[in-house]
Amino acid sequence: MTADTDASDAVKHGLTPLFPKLWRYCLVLTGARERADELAQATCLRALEKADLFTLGTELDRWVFRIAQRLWLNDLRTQSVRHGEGLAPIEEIDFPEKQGDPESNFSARETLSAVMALPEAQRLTVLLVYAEGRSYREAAEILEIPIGAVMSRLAAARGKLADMINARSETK
Amino acid sequence: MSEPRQFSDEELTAYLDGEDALALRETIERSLAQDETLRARLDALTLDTARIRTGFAELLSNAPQAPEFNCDRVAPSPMRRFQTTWRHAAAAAVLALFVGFGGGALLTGPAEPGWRDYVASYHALYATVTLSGVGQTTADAAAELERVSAAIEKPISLSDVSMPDRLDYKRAQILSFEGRPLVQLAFLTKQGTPVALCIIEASEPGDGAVQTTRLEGMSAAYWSKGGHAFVVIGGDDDAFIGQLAAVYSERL
Repeated sequence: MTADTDASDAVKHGLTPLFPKLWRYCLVLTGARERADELAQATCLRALEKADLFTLGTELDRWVFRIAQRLWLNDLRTQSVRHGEGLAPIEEIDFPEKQGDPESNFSARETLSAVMALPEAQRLTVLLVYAEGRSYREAAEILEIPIGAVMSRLAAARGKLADMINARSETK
Repeated sequence: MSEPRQFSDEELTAYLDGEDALALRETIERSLAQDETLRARLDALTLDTARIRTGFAELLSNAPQAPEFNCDRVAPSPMRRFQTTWRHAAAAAVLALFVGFGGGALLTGPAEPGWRDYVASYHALYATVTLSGVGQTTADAAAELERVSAAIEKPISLSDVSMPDRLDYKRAQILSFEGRPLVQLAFLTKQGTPVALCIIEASEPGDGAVQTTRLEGMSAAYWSKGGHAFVVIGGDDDAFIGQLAAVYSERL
């Protein structure tokens, strides 16, 4: 088996278990469920096309997230704007209704809404560092930005989120 | 006394995030003890990140059905060809990407073979380095096994899975297949080949003898016993995997 075939197999077999995380990444990137569905699928196609470029032994999710981001920035976002759809109005996102403790779910959903109200660049950094627990360096690699930019995005996000989230928890 | 050092919001954020190399932790902590304004600034940046994690974790279960990339294994009838408006639609035809409609249609059908295929797809991503860095104390390994055993209601001890002349036990984790817990025990052979023993509660109780097969190009063996279904998979030595299965089917 050649290295290319191995890489292709790794991508082919890795995309299915990775898909929920990819879709979530796309949701945060695009800010809208429908666009997230489209981008996640387009990303899978592109990843399969380019599978021989995947380096075995590296994390597939980082590689796939970068593909999603490039597709969105270079192509799909432009199309969305051109077609008059605008950029990710937060109201479009239909957050999941979960069964269980309504108090705790409300809180988690509110937090999610607050994050999604941030600018695209900040919410993506928040996802990678706070939801996925990645280091600054890993987030910088995925987002293809300097580590200083990760820090400034998080600092800005923290300032805004702390106001919103902490204020709400105090009132409960 | 020297002039108090000023810290940027970025430095304080890195401090809160435990990115110590960037944040000059000690300097910040010294200043915090004396500087009320700095404490207030830090408070204004403090965030309950656990809540963010929880909120985003809930989103995962709302992801749509994953596209199916291995269409040769899955009957196409419940699926529709993925129709994309995206300009690379032609690639869809070449790559035979399918999307399941109707909520999990892809995962239904013959349930038991389905789970084995998914185990194989997942295991195909394992390389030696996936596991070579994992080192647990015996006590940690035993505690972990106890935790995963509880998930599938099947007692598994370290002595059950140990085969020191053939395999180094690495770790256990709980995965999920169609909402059912699936336990994966991971090993490295003496040559560094990743091997997994996976166990799931069978949808129908019954005993089935060990059978060997190939999944995703890897050697695999499967059997069922006492309400659980088992797979051993890894590498390409069919005889070796068969031997492991024979031992485990006795012990477990």
